[in-house]
Amino acid sequence: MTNLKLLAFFQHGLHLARSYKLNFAARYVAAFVSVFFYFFLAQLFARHQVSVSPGVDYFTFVLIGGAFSKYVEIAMRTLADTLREEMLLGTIEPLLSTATSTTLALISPSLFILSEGTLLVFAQLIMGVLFGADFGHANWLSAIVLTILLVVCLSCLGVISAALTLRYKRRDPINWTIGAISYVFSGVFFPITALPAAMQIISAALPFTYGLHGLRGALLNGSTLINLWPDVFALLLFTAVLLPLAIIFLRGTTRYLKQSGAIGQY
Amino acid sequence: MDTVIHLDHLVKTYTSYGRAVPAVRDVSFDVERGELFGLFGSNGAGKSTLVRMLATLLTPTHGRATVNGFDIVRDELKVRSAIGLVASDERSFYGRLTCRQNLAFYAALQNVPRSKIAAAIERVLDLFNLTAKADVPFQSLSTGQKQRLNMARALVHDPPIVFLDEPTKSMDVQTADFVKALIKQELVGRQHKTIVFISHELYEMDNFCDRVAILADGQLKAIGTPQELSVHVPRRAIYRIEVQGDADRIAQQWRALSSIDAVTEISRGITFTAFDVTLNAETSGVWLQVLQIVGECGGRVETYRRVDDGSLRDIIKHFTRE
Amino acid sequence: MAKLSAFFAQGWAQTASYRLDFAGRYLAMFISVLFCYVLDQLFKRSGVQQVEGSSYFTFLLIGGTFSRYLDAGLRTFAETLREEMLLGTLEPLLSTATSTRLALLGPALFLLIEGTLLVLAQLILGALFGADFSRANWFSAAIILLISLIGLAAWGIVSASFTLVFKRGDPVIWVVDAVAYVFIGVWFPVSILPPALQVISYLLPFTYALHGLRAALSSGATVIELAADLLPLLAFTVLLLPIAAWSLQSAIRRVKRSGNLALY
Repeated sequence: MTNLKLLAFFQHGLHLARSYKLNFAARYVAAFVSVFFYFFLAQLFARHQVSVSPGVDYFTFVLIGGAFSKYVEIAMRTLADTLREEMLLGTIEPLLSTATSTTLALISPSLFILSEGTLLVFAQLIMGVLFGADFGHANWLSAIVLTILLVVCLSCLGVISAALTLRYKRRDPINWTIGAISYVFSGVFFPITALPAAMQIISAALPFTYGLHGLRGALLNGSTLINLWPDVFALLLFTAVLLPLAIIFLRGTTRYLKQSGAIGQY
Repeated sequence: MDTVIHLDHLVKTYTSYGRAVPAVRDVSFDVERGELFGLFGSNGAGKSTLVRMLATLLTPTHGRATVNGFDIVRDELKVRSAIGLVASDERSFYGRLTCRQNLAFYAALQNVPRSKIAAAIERVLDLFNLTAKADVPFQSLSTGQKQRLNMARALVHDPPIVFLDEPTKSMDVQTADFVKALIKQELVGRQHKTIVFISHELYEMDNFCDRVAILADGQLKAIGTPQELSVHVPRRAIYRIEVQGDADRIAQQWRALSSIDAVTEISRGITFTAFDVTLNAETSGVWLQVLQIVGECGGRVETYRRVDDGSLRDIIKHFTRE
Repeated sequence: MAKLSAFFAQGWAQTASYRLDFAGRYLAMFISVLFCYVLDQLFKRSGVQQVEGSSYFTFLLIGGTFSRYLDAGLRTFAETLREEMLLGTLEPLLSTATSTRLALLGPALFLLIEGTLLVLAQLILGALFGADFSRANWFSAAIILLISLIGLAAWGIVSASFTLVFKRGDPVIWVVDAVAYVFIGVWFPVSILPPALQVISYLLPFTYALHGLRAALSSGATVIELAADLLPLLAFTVLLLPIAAWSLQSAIRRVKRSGNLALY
């Protein structure tokens, strides 16, 4: 039954996406334009002979950072925005009065979003290759395992931010800030070693730092999972902490909504 | 009799800016299977809160309730699969999706098996005369059509119990009549569903609901068939009567009658004077006396009409007056 | 005027009621300045002192600040409109005794003013981080920002009209946003682009605005020296204004004819 419902949510996401065709297309255009952007930024680096680490091509480096940060965006924004929109449309109350568990109803919309996001990440990587990104040494198995670990870990954060959005009704500024922090501190555009030592502490507290570090190891240097164990371990540890937190937040929010009667209000 | 909805000292208190705001105070009643049950109250009386609790969207502060035999807190999923909820916000669909796509989504979430979804959608679309609109985006429907789709959504999984929160709110008279006939004849009459019908309009309930519960200020003020409720109320009727002739004399003689409680002058024109006359018993004998007096005073009755609606309004006034 | 101040007061009340949001915006600003600083360190480490006549930090700071301004201008109208449509507050607003145009654009007023404040705050913060504005010609900078604001508002109105008709404004905004990042030279000088793509840059008004702003702030160019940037910017703005007026008008007409004002 749950599988059928997940399928229904997936189809529903697809229908919605198809009904906003222009939006759909624009997402891809924007993704491609950002590959352009990385390419030219890398040209600037090349012109001034700036390198992030020896032997690493900056274009490939920033492409990986930029493409995979899509998952941060989804976790910190897209899921929460989707729920917020449902609240505005008034569809969340009918949704919650169906014979579907509240938890499932609240987190299932992310299914389609995540699948589509993954497609977008791939599309960017492929386009990067056309622009000369070098994945010649990549260890794809490690990359896939790390992506899965990263997605699971970020999803917990996503659930927490969605719960906060439902609770406080507004696109959460905290998500936004964490999103911005991630860009700077988890090393999308430069290795975190470029940060002042005191600020690298912040990097250490972000799961995306480890995910990105591991993904770059796998895709740029072809590191095996054994070589990457510190990153894998860190992601597992984050998930172990965030998963129960996510459950507590979601339960707390549902309880609050049911007690305050704030589901339908906006 | 078979009780399908059972409320046992249900209480709901909201907290607003640190203050407790009671919305439902200690309400208990039962609804029987196959009943068309009306829930009446003015805005803010607690009707919607009550229904949202029964639909498991809200957790009660105290007390308990069962729907279709399941506890609304402990077995919320079982409760939800037994009910259909029509909330009063007709906007609550995905505007860009078609009616069919919208219904298919909710049907899947209501555990309708995949193979039966298409048939279930056809059935409810047909029931509400929406078949022609099946593949049209929701946002291009008229308000009345949206309301009907709202009801279709609540019925797509064929639940035994349906909560209707002011379903006819923004329908025109014909559509409202169509929907009410559908509820009474099809849903209750043929399919034997239990309907809880919420309204703040009286005329909707008279000659329609089997039983009515009256809520005011979060409390259950009365419950029963419209006839049962009317027993509790002294029978009175108010008529507006326009007379020609010596109005003062007529009024004076009317006031002397024991069957007349009050005579109020409403307006005095050049030829006509209008009075509101309150009768404490409505029999043909009393009417005869009223008319006789006008005749004796050399006057004439120009028009008369009843200005209270006599039935439920009096009952409710009686029960909500505190 | 009274109505503008009513919109302003409403915007302030709205913002003040979401204090965390407000604080979040300023925190994000701080982070983006920090980001520019660190990227500059990367350049310094490789011995690069100057990019286009100033430190890479100053270059990025001005670019980043301007792009924030751009972003505010482009998004604000469309996003506030969309929110009003979703909340269903647009119809009551349009049924007040206020011209349709004012009613549609008024809600964004406050956000635009706040956007300008954010730009100033970001520049000041940048100076604290070591951006060099010692030779800045503030007058030229103000002139450029003012003309840009008018041009941006016009852009914003076009995208708001788009939102009104198509119910979703973001696609266009995204693309324009993304294109702006690449082509107007926020992160790298336009000269990095291959000549064929530089053509696109020179078709965008904000390329001139940003170039001029950099010249004014880091080398103190006077208004006369900036003529080469100001003239095209002015020309674009003058061209854009009637387009904006026309698109808003036709969007209102279209929406009124099709009757779907409160859709989503």
